[in-house]
Amino acid sequence: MKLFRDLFVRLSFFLEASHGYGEAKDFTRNLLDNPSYPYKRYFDLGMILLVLVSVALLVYSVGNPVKPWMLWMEDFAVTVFIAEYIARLWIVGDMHHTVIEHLKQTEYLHLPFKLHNALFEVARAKWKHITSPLAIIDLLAILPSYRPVRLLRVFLLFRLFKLFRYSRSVHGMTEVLAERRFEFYTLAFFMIFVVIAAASAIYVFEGAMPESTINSFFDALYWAMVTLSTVGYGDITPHTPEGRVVAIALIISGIGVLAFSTSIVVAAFQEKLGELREHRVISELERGPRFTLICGFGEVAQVVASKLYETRQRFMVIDLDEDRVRLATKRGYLAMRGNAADNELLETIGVRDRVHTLVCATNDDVKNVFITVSSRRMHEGLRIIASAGSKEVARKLTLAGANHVVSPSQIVGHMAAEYIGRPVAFEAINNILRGERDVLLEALRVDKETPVCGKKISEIGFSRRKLLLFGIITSREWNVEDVQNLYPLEDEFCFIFKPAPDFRIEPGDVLIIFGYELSLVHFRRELGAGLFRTGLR
Amino acid sequence: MPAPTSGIALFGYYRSAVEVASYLRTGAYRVVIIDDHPGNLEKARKAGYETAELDFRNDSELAKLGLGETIETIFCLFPDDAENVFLTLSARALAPDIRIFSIAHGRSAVPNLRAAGANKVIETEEISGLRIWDIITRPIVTAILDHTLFGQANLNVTELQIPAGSPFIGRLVSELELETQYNLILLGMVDCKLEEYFVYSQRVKNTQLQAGDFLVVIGPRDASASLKQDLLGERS
Repeated sequence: MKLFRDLFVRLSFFLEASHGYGEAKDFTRNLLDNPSYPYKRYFDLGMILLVLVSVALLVYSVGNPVKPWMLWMEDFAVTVFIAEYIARLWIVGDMHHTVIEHLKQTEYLHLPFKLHNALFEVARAKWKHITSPLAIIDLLAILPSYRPVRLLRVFLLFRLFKLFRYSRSVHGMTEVLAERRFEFYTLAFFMIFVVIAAASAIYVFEGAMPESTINSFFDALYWAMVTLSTVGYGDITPHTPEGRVVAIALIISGIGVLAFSTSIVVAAFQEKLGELREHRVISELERGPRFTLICGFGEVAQVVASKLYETRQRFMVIDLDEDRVRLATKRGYLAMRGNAADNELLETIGVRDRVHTLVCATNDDVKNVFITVSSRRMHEGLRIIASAGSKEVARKLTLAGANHVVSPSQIVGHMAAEYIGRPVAFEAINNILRGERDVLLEALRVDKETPVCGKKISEIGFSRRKLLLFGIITSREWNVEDVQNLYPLEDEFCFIFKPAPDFRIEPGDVLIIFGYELSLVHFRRELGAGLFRTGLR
Repeated sequence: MPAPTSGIALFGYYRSAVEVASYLRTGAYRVVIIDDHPGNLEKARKAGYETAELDFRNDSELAKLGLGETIETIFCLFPDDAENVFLTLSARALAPDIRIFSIAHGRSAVPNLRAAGANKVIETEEISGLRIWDIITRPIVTAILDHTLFGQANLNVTELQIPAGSPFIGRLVSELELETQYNLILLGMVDCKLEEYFVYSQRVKNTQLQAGDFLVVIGPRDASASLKQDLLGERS
């Protein structure tokens, strides 16, 4: 016994240390259970095909001779199903991990290590999996292939239920209906009561009559069900006035039952339609590159969204207000109703890894601070831009981890001061910022292959190109005394205003150029690849 | 182009006004805060501003303020667009030459305010949205503008008017050699003959300077100060 235990512990440690084992298990887990794993889609598609083919073969074999390749096909399908079943059982929990954990705990508490405790815990988790509805369906899809239980061939149709596993929309639909469990129970209870009452009544009235077609209680039940559902085959009909009264009552309650069940289903879907749409939004964002998340869809956010939409950037809007979400959807944006202060929602959307910029622009300052704090905690490198109602809030948002804080009232104040102090310059700057009158200020990064690389400023001829070199951002080391007009920026970057004509441009430098759009476009084209409108990183 | 004013009236002491007032406080202006809400006025008084309680809907009360005389610029900073339009209209009727700056909270209000006679309309939400967009799409340019144009570093945008009798009158813009002589970049100028229209530097090289023209330059503070002195002809 002790030998067995030691062997088990040693095996556990071996597995824990084994790289390949962990990788294999992770791969299996991803393939079977991780919806964002890229290959899962192909796996699901393959399984759906296999299920459909095996069921089609079953139906075909009813009236046609079975050919050998069909048997092979069936064997293949069953093999795959069995492998899948075992794999699913395998990925439930980690036995070696549980054993090691137990060992550590007992050592820590100076208790004797009992292997069966650990194994029992593992077995319990596995058993829970085995008895889950989907696992039972899996099992029922395999069992009928075993010859002695060929009788259960009809269970092969359970393979169709396996499709639930592989299709998210089917899954969603059953979930929606499952949420209406209570209503369905009520309905079922009512229906059973009506059917049994009507069946008993008709059986009592007509069961013993010689001309009646009701010969047993089962016939009565069958008739009641057929009538209640308004199907009414007409193979069994009441012949006595009493029987017809029962039929009338049954028909009336039948209409009620039908209307009730229809309304349950409709209401359930109506309610869940938004959620199903959200699933679609999220799964759409899961594919493709990272995106910007806009929390809140007030006036400020609407401007941001319309600009992002114009420039075809990927973004998503969330807002609590139904009308605003509808407005966003109407404009063609990906939008979803939800509370951005809900950490779980942020996580589902993918703030941890799918979002590169978060615009925090709800109309509630407290909420903005909260969202900023929680998303900063989720993702250290996330760029957070928050809008603030006042200066104090702006300070709090910075403390909370926002990279940039934009306060509408502060901007108005700033612009008012500029307007009073220097109206001409104000107009000019404003126009440049807005890109009006075709005048732009643009940042172009210089790469190794760029023709301007290594050249002196005087050699490029900015003024001949009708461009104004406002300055250069570089991360090179500079001696403050050597270079005129050097201004440090954030991190290791610094800005050189109006660099001297003999300044040599090197890769990584960013030129800040000012000019009419025409000249800028021309300059970009002439210098070819390597010049981008770009961020510092 | 009107000269900088001394008397400024701020209507409506709400969020925007708090910021505007605090920015204007740093300049040498006389700022009066006007509101018909005693609570707002109390706040303004506590912050140390001159205040006046009056109902802007009443023309005779507005006239008493001395619009166009002691007050040369008004700011309409009510959160309600309709109130701003009303105020702009009344003020423009009382004082045709006054400068009116108004905020708007939606694109539809901008043409109304302009029609009512506002010289400058700032749409608060749009301007903030555009700024966020700038930060997202061109972070460098935005950072540079913050550091330089908006005066966080020594670099500054300055506008200089050519005074009458300046030694520079009649010379070409390119002859000033702003870049080499003054360490300045010329952003552009307003040619007073060309109906106060701002022209960017690439198109003004061969323009002759006139009295009353504005030059807008970017550069270190001392550089623009020395250009200013030369324009006045004070330095030999």
